[in-house]
Amino acid sequence: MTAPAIWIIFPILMAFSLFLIRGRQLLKFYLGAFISLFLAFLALVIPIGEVINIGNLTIQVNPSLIVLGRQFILDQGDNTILVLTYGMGFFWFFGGLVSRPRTSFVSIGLAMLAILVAAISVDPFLFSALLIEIAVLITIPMIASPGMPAGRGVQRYLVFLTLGMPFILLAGWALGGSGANLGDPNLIISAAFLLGLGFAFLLAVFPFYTWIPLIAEEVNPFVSGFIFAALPVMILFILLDFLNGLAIIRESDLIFKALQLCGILMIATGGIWAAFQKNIARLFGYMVIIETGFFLFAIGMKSQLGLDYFAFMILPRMIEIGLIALGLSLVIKSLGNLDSYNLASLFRRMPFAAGAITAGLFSMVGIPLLAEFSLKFELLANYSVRRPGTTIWIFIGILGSLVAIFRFLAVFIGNPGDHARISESRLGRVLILIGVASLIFIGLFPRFFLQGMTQILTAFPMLKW
Amino acid sequence: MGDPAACVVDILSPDRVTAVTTGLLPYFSLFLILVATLELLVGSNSKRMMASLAVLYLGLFLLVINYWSFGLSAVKLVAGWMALAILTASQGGGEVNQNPLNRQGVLFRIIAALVIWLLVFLIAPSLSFLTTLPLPVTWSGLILIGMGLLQLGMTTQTIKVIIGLLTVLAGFEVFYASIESSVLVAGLLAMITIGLAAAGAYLITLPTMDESL
Repeated sequence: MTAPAIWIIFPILMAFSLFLIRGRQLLKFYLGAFISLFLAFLALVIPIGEVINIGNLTIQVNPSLIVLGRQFILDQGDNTILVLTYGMGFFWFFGGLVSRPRTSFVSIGLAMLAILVAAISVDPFLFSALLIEIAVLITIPMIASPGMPAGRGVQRYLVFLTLGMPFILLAGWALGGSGANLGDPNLIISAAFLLGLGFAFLLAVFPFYTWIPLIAEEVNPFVSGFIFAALPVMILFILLDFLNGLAIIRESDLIFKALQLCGILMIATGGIWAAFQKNIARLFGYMVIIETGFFLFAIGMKSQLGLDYFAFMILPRMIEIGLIALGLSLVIKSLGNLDSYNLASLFRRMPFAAGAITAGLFSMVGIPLLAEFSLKFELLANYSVRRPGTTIWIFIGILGSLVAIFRFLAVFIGNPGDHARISESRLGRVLILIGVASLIFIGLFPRFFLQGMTQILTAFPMLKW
Repeated sequence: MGDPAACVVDILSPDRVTAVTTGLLPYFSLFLILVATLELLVGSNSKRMMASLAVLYLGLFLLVINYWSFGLSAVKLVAGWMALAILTASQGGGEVNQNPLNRQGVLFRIIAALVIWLLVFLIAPSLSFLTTLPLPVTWSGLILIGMGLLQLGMTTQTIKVIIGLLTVLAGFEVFYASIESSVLVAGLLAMITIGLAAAGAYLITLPTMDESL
């Protein structure tokens, strides 16, 4: 038995089987959630590569699987990533019971997670670009709903993510497969440029992020939230894998400075644009851009502290995106659209949904007592000592997003009018309470809850400064 | 003056055929690609556009065959034509554009294409030097990428966006085929080509699909 067979092939087969089930909507969500939970549990308990004795039974899960001459390797260092990936799958598919996106969401979502795991595990890693593209292609039926024409967001999502692939393949060749002199600074600059451009497309770095607010506006928020939660984080893991595997890039300051600059640009421009949004789904999109900007900023610090904060921010980000997506999907199901005039007095009409959205947005921006406060505070406090001039742009971004959030908060608590209270499902309320409580507890005891997340970094052993 | 023996060599000798193949085939491919990409840019009749896409993939096949075995190169041709078949199935067969381009629109696109060609012919020698690829192959790859990007920048019609992406991808494959001959890469790229067409066909047929699906 091999690890890729368990965490890549098995979920793909399950996803295909789920796709074939017709008419049993609830069953698909339950099965998807159960399969994801089972895979996350296996990743937690199975030591990959070691012999396990269960009574008379001896099992060894080998880390690699060879397909057409290429290896897929999932070793012990990848365990935390697997737990995180399929744990996220569990929460999203279970949350689907409340939000009720189209049933193809479960099968496509599960297949997407498995393909992204394949992208992380493939060796040589330049093949990951091809697998990411396949993952993107299979998500198209999930984000584009039948009965209405495809929006501009879907088109741009497809175009930008497809354009990223060739650059990464060419960069991989220039760095690894060309056999050229890697001491040549021109080659390094060319390769770094290709790599940077490829990841800029894949990570929706400024100015290629226009698809994110469009997708947030056009697509069911629960589905777009799943894409926003899964795709950038997995692509960042692949970026770290690139940095981990290529000493020439890892030791160069150029690419880290570029990453940091991209992060700051995303935070600043995302925040400024966020301030002018009248649709809360678009604000959600811009907040996701700012969050990805913070990830790039942390990695670009080229320090252990930056990497630790990158790892710490992953779990809060997933909970925040989950809460906002769930809240927005409940609102859109009850009210029809997410324009600000339609959200008046949301706290009175749908208190749990409004609370989920507000808590998620506040935590993302780093309001005290919520999950990301201490993380962002320490990250920025550390950085501002070294470069106070650059930090101002980050504060401008945060300020812009705060302006937008407070404006929507004013709408939420505004004039009640004659709006009646809308009932919210019990499961939805429970999930929202768990999510908000998690954000508060992480905010109060960040090290206690997030220290384990640094285990993710064991997958990238060469990234030590 | 050359070798006198060459004057009496049989015109159909293997050496001669190889020389003609390696010498003229890339130019022939370049011609096919120029014609096909121009028609894809200015055309609005779906049948002619699909025929142009077929010609484009034939040109790609004729370029790739210089680096890959016949079987592996045929994968590109088959994948391209399968993508074309998928896109064709999603089309009604009439005009792609509800509002066909007027003469000024066509002229503007032709001028834009000429600018791209000019840029490609200027850039190609330095890139050809870097990649050690023959000049006509570099021309072909760059023209595919340039015309594909031009297509992507000039339209919001799903079918044309997908054709633009397929064109850019074909251009990239021209370069990548010369440096990577892995079966897995060929398979995955073929899968992506077909997948793009399938995604495009899905997006094109979305408005007419049953909402309960």
